[in-house]
Amino acid sequence: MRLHLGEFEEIVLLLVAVHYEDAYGLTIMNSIEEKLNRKVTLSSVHTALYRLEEKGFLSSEIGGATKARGGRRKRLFKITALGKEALEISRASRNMLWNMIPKISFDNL
Amino acid sequence: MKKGPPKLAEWFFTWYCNNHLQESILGDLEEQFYQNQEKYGGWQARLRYCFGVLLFINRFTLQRDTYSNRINHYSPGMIKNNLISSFRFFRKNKGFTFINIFGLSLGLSSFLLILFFINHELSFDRFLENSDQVYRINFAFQDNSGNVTTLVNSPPALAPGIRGKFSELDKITQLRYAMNCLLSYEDKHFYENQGYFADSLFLEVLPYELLSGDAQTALDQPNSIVLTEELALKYFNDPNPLGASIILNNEIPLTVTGILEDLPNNSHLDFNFLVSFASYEVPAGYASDLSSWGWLGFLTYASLKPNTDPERFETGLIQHFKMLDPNNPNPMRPIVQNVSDIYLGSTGINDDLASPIRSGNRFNVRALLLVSILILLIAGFNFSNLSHALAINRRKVIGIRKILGADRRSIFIQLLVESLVLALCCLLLALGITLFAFPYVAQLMAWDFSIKLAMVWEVIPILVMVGVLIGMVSSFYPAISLAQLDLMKAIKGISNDRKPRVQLKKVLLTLQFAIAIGLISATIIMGRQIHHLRNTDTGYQAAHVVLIEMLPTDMRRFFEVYKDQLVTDALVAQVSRSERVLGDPWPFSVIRKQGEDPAMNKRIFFNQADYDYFTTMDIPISMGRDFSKDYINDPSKAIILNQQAVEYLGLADPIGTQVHFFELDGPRTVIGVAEDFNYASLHEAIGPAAMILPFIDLEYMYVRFNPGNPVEQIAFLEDTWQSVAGDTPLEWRFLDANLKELYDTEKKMSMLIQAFSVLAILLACLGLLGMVTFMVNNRVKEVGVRKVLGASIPSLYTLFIKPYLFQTILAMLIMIPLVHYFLSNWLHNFAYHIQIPWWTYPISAGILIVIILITVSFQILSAAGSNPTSLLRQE
Repeated sequence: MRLHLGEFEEIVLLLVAVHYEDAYGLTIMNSIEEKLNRKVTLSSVHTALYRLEEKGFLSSEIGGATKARGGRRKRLFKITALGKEALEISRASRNMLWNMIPKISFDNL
Repeated sequence: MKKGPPKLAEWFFTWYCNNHLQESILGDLEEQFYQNQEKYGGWQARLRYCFGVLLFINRFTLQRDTYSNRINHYSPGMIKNNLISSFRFFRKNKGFTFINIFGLSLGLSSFLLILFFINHELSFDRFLENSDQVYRINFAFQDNSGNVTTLVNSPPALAPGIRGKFSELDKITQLRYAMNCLLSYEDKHFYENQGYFADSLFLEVLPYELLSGDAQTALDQPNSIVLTEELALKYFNDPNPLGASIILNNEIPLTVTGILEDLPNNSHLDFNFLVSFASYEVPAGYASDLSSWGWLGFLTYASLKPNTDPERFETGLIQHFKMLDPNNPNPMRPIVQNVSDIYLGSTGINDDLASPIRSGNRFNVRALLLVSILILLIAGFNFSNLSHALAINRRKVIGIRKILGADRRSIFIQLLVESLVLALCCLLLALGITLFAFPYVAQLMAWDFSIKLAMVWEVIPILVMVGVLIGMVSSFYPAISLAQLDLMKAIKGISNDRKPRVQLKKVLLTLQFAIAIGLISATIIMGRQIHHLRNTDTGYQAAHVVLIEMLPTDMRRFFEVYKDQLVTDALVAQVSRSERVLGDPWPFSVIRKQGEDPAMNKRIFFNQADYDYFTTMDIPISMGRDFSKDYINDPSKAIILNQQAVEYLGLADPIGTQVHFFELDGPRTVIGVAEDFNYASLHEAIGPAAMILPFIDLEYMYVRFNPGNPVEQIAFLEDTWQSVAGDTPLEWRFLDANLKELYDTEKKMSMLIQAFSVLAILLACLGLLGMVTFMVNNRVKEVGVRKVLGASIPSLYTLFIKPYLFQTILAMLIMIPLVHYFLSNWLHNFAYHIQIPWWTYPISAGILIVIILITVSFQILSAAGSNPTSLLRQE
């Protein structure tokens, strides 16, 4: 099982976890634009979500409909145990590398 | 709430994205639209919406929501079910499945066997580390009549003469074939004829593996010898007798300075000892010496520096030889040949000394490859036809699957995989068959290599590729047609055969027949040619003649006495000797009539033959007389020509004409004309030839016995020898046995082709049997109805047989041009060949027809003969 995550995928995955029961395409996209100050398209977020689901990091189910959506239901995503593991591995490896940086490397920068 | 999102864009999205994702994506897009309306205003929101729709085109949105996409094909349950279903099918059709597997395995294994052989043939000399840079220098020259001869030999002055003179040249070395030598150590004496004199650089240019001793110095000192391990064990019983002493020709002590690993059997040079070149002395009576640039009696190998151009080297050499002989419009032309090309690339280039150089035949290799591919094709066609036919039986199963929701793709994949698995099983089986059969085949074909792991490794990828290809291709069509089955028809059991499919089977079958007919014809033709060779009158009699090979020095010492003793006995008819034995090519020289300019020199083959040679070999002298001791000038002044030579020189009245033969000699007189005889093998036409009495010590002696008991004759031969020569070993052979070996390659090829024809017929019949049984089973109702309507058994029989007969005739017609082309090519290898008889093709077709009839009649007759009611009851 490859638990490797691309950078964008990782962000999307984290945000799904952040948005707990409110994680779907639009909310994730808005969060990225607001919180991280990045311009992303709705389609790229959706694609990342489908990929993550294919890899087994997310599960999805059909959720509530609202008028703003023209009466259409939304697809809500939830993080799985595998997804959590992938995030933890990523975080642990970043931390390890950060800890390995000698002070002198960042001096004068 | 203001206007909704752009309808057009929305409609476009629903058009391309038609699956379960459509709803949620559209919902998101709409929600985003309203957000954008607040943020950016109306028309920007619309613009962004449209863009969004376009950007959403990807594999997720485009994929249809098929059942297949929604199920997991690779879940354990699914796979298990597929396997079970496949096994059930095999069990229900055990017979056909078995035939199928057997046929394909047989085809694959014969392919594999040939592949191993070809792999071996192509691997010659590549074990030498520097094989890319080592070249042999051959020579071609032309005589005044325009005949070009190419030899592998080179002059002795070449190697020492061009050292350091060419920038491309790294090292250069030469060999002289040691011919027949006697090696003795203590009480072991044996004649060895697989050795060379090699100069000090030989083991550096051609880095054969030395087990002990130093490659740089082993051949430096005169009187050194390097042996292979095999020879060392033979004489010394010690695999490493460095420093020991062994005697050459009862005269010269040699010191063992190195032990070579036994040469692998894919080396073109096949020697088992090397003596240092410094020990070589030109034997008495030879016209040239080691400083000659024209005496082609040596082998020269050169290693070039890396990244240099061998063609430039060759051009440089050509220039060099032009300069040596500026007045000759056709000087000797050196040809540089890479060592790994020697084995297969030397047809037409001979070794004037017939030293132990292995020589293969590229044409044979190609022909064998072709034949094995043909066999594979037959096996493949069988597999395909049978799978195809069997597919019909699965209609009901497939129908049910479709009802349960299987889509076309998964059915197709399942059938394909099943076929692949079957093919791979066949591969394994084929491998097993090959490994088992190999020793027998190798013995039959006199292949002197064995299958090593490395060879298997190289060959396996090809085999797997072929197997997979056959598996896939052959099942492709049936799988597709099954997958596209019309559901209702399948359940009802109605065939939905369309015309095109039936024709494919016919085409394949016809091709199979064609290949079988082709092989049968080839067998017939080759068989006849070999028969012809055996029975052609060669102009001499080889029966009852014993060939004895001995050292030239021994010949000088013992021949006269030995001959006298032999001839007086009633058992012996006549005894003589000559330089070349019948069957070996003759060397050549130049000849012209006396008084003509040397520019008129013509090439002529010649042999040195002693008194009584013509009577011993039973060659009639049609004009003049034989050599005779009554004329003391015969050795230096007499020459006998053959019929061809007389015509070649245009001698109206040959007896008494003076000719110049061998530039150095004085003129000779033609004293007799011999009838043409085949001095070489029947591969070559008889050329103009001359015979003179010997001027060097000879090696070959002939004893013609009167017809009688061979055991008694040989005993007499050996006893007499012992009384003359003490315990010097005697090496004798029957001449006709020797001659038979000349056609070995052809005989082997013929045998192989024969075996393949049998295989081809077997496979074709196997396939045919399967298909006919099949077809008969399926048409059972038709037979029943016909019988009810009054058809007789013979008419039914004809009905079923006719298509096959037609196909056979068609196949024969296809094969005629092909067989003619290939076999004519092969036949032209021989100067004496048969014409392809016109009846070959009809007879081959006839044989095939007979076999087909036998195969097929039983099935057809049993169906035709059964009670119509039982046929019609079948459901």
